Amino acid sequence: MTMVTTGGPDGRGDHDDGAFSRTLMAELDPEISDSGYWDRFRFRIMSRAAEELARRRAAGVTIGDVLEKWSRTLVPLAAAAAAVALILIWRGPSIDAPLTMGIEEALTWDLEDEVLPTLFGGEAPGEASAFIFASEAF
Amino acid sequence: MVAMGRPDDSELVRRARGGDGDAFGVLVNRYMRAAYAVALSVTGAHEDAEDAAQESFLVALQKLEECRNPERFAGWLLTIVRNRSRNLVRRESLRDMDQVPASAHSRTPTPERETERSELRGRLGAALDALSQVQREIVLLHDLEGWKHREIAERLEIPAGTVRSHLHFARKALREALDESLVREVGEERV
Repeated sequence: MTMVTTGGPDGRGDHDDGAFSRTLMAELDPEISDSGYWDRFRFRIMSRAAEELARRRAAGVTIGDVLEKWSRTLVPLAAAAAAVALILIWRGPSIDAPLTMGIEEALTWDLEDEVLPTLFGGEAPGEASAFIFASEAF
Repeated sequence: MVAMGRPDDSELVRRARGGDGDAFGVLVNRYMRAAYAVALSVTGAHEDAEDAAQESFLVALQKLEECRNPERFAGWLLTIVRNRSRNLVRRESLRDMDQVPASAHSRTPTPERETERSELRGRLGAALDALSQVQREIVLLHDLEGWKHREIAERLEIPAGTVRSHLHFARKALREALDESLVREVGEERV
């Protein structure tokens, strides 16, 4: 037991107030009248926290894995795509860019509108006859 | 206080964020008494303080990402405790419920001694009520939980000199409000 002593000018110095106050406050500790109180207090908190802790563990694994994979593959790809897009935007559409086309397109370029009328419209009978003779010959 | 070799609060908070129950358990162990003391300083009633302190730990766990300075976890936690305790008091006052007597936490009553203790607790509760909120909090953290001036100053984010001043006036008021002889008697019986 901490006994209260007196001291100081009025017989009640701050040091003594400390002992007095600590003795008083000890009365407010639930453990005094309830042995094992703090163990139970902690147990109740930990029991109720178990679900949230489990959720955090599960969430931690999933999110961590996903972020790690993303950081290894998708992020560099996205960065590269963004860089290419930026370059294209910066350069803009070029008027002087050469016209490019495939071989087949080049062969049939500008002929579509004339081939069928030419063959069946009778405007070039010589050529049509030659086509018929050739097919009969083979 | 954190001793050498023990994980500091920021490390424990980081691990608890990942769901480490052991780390969270250490934080609970480290601050449950302080949380209770702060809650008691606001509510003035054991059951309410107990509820508010326990709820605060669960809220803290759920909002752990909001603790921007994990090394100051204690101060952040005690703010939650204070707010929840105030909300509890507000709700109870709205319900117009009777105040739980200060002696309500006596769960194992023994005849004469318990009567004296009940009397002391009742007077102590009244004396504490007469203090300001911050004085109550400081005197409980210092004289019930054993925190140092520096620890209280850091965790409540007030100057250490202010802590000393509040503590001095709180103790003086308690001494003036309570009969010293009653405290001595109860203390001697405890031994």
